[in-house]
Amino acid sequence: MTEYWGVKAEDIFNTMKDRFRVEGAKGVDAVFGYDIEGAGKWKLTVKNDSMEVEKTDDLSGCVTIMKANEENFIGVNIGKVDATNAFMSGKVKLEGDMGTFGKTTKMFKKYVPAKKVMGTGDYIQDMFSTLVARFQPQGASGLDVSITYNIGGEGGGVWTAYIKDGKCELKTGQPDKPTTKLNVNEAKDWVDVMLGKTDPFSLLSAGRASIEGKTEIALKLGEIFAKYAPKIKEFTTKDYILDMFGTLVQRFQPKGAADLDATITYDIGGEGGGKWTAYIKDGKCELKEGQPEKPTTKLCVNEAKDWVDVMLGKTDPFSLLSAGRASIEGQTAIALKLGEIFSKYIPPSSGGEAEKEELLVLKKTISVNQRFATGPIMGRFLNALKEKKIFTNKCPKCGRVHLPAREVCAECRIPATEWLEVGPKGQVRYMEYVYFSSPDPLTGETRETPYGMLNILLDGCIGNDTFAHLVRRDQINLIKNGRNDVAGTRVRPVWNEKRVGSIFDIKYFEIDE
Amino acid sequence: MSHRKKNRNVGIIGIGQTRFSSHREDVNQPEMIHEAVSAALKDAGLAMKDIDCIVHGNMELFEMVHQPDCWHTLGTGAYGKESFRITTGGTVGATLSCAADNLVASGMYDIVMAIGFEKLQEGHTTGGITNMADPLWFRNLQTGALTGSKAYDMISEFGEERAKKASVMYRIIMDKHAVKNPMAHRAFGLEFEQLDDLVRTSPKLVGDLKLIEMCSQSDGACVVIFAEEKTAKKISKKPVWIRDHITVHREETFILFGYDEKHPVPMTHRFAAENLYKRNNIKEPLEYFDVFEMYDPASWWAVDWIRDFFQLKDDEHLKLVENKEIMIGGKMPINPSGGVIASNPIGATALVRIAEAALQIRGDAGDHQIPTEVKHALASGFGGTMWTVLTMLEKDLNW
Repeated sequence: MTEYWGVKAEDIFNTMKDRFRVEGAKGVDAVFGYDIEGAGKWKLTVKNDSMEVEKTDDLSGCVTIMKANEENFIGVNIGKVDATNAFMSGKVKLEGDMGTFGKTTKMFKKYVPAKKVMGTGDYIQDMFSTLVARFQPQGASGLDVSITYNIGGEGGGVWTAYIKDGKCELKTGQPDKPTTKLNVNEAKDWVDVMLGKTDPFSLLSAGRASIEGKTEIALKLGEIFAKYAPKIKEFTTKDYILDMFGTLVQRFQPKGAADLDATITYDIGGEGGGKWTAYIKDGKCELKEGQPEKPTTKLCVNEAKDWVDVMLGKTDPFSLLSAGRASIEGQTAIALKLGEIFSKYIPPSSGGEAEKEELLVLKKTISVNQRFATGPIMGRFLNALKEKKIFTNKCPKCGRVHLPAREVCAECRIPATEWLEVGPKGQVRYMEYVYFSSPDPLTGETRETPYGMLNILLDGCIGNDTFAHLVRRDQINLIKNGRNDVAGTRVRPVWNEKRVGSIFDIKYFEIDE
Repeated sequence: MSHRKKNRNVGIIGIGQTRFSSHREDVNQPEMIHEAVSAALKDAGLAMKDIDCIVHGNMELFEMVHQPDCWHTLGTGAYGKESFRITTGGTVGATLSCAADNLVASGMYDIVMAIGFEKLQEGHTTGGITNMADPLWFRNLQTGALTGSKAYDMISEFGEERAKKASVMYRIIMDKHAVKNPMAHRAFGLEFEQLDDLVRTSPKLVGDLKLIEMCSQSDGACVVIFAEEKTAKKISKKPVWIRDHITVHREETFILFGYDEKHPVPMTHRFAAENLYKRNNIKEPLEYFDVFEMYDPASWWAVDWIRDFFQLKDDEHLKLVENKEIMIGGKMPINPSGGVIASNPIGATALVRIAEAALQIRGDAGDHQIPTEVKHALASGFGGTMWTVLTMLEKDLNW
């Protein structure tokens, strides 16, 4: 079992019980498996408001098994690896029922690594894992060299960059005779150099570092590789929340909290959220996960992202409160003093110094009432739905029928004048089996998945003049598509009691047998 | 379809792209556009004063900004110049190129700059696409840009295993290309060994369309500068000539399915390709072209469309994919840039195809340059519910 970012896979499993959120597990009765390459297998049993996790060799009976290597599993859990990318590119895999597994994300509070500040080892790991990405071919043109970094002390190791033909490859260990070898006695010194806190020449002259082989290559390192910058850009909500609470105690200002004896609970919902409580007494501050029975003040924020925006100065807290997206319980006065009790949160992207000019993102929500005139043709089609009838019109030239009715045949460019009643029953030609539902931007609603959208060849229609509508949700797995002379499942519309002349006067289609 | 020869020859003399990414919160829209404008001017060795006219386009209302060209004047440099706004859905980038080409060819302007951009993160992509549907009945039914119908078609025709593998094989090849393109948004580092795994485990979106097979949503801009022959030859050492372009639209319809061989559905891609090749006397497009930059929003579509664009029969298109002939170094390299599946700033996307095809002809594509000489390139645009724009680019003025 290996550590990544100071975390072992077992740390994540061992803390599951503490991180379990009963409200996120409501109605779940399932066994999940985790197969972590190099670290072993775990089985998670969830039954309504209780859970068990055990290390096991037998993952039989699991509805879903997650497979990943240690690095990716830990990275995703602590927000160091982008979960979507890892999942899309197959670095994290799910076998079995994906939908149910999705619920595990709501079941646990975020894993917060014990180590909150990046240690020397983390920096070293990050530096070398980004080395190839920082390689600048233009700075290395014509070079055919191997550069070995021999870093001693805690977090150290030996790595070699092989540079040839404008390409760079990094391997651990070193060749027999590297072109250039950089020896640094203490990893910490090298981190300082890379972060620009120390200059390399003082290390060399102090004998804390040395260069073997071709020195001129070492002097060119600044051209060969772009400057190392600790990961900043891809901070997710989770990372920010983690970092905010990770730095809360450091940001405590005793002056602003004189005579204060209070517990302040942050209850942050949504992805990346969790519950933390700051215990403030005698000019000291301590942060714990969870909350006491009666905190002096409790700040509830529905969405972690909103809180991040507040902390980064992108949104003001009062608009959140007034929009009902956040609330304060207990003593409101303390909440108003938070700006004095803690110094402003500064994201790591600004290199530890307050940004001179903040980049803002302005948020707007547009809501517009729209009215669309149907015109006589669509009007007739929609009006007929009130009478439980489906009307189409036929092209006098090619015989094509349109669904819904159209003003002209687009292919023949002549008015389609002859009205025809078709259906209402028909056969399915094709069903879109939708697992991923795009939110409807007009209503903000997301359809429950999976659902099916049908292309139905209504009786009386020919060829590809199909009609689109939804299928009764519990029947999606029973639908068979038609093709050529083979007919698909027969379906019939289910009409609404109250009909207003809309496509949803038909609730959906159901199997007709 | 009547079609006349150009009054004047037109060449591409400048190309600029931003890096494509899911988040460009560090710049606003005009600033982002300006990055590409500056890059293109630098590439051409021109200054803003040299540009006679600007055509500007993106997806209509995807960012909910009406007439964004007004605001963007700060970044486009269009102040005091002739300027047109064009928006034709997914094809907009290709239409920008067609318009710039026509404006120069007509003799109205000597140098025209085409600007395509999108900041999808600032709006709502699915919202935009949903708004495209007929509001009288279809808006609440459609599923955004996602469809499993092409997967269903190909599985019906070639069997489940072969079809699914071909689609993921295509996807992995595109990723192999994207890794070589520093501008690409998504570059995962996929390996061919992952093929079976991805077929099995990538989550399904709609039908057999899987997450890995669908394009991303990106921010970014692309700028291409066009000039008439004499000016182009004077300014640029390596002008790339626009030989011809064709645009084919169908009526707005989301029902594209042809499940009855007695009633074939006319495909705009095949139709456009047929007509373009006929009037340019291209008998064997697969032999003629050296590279193809295809608008490939999803890998199922991409594999299927290879058949349409190259007028292939039966499973010839599948074989091209399976034998990796579409890779850089293969018989018909497709999307050395990684394609749309890797980066999709929609309003810029189709213009990127033309820009990348031109870079290949110039030999300036960097790590994703095709090793052999590129003389003839094809670029496609796709959009609307079934719209096609095809552009032919040439190294030499010899047709």
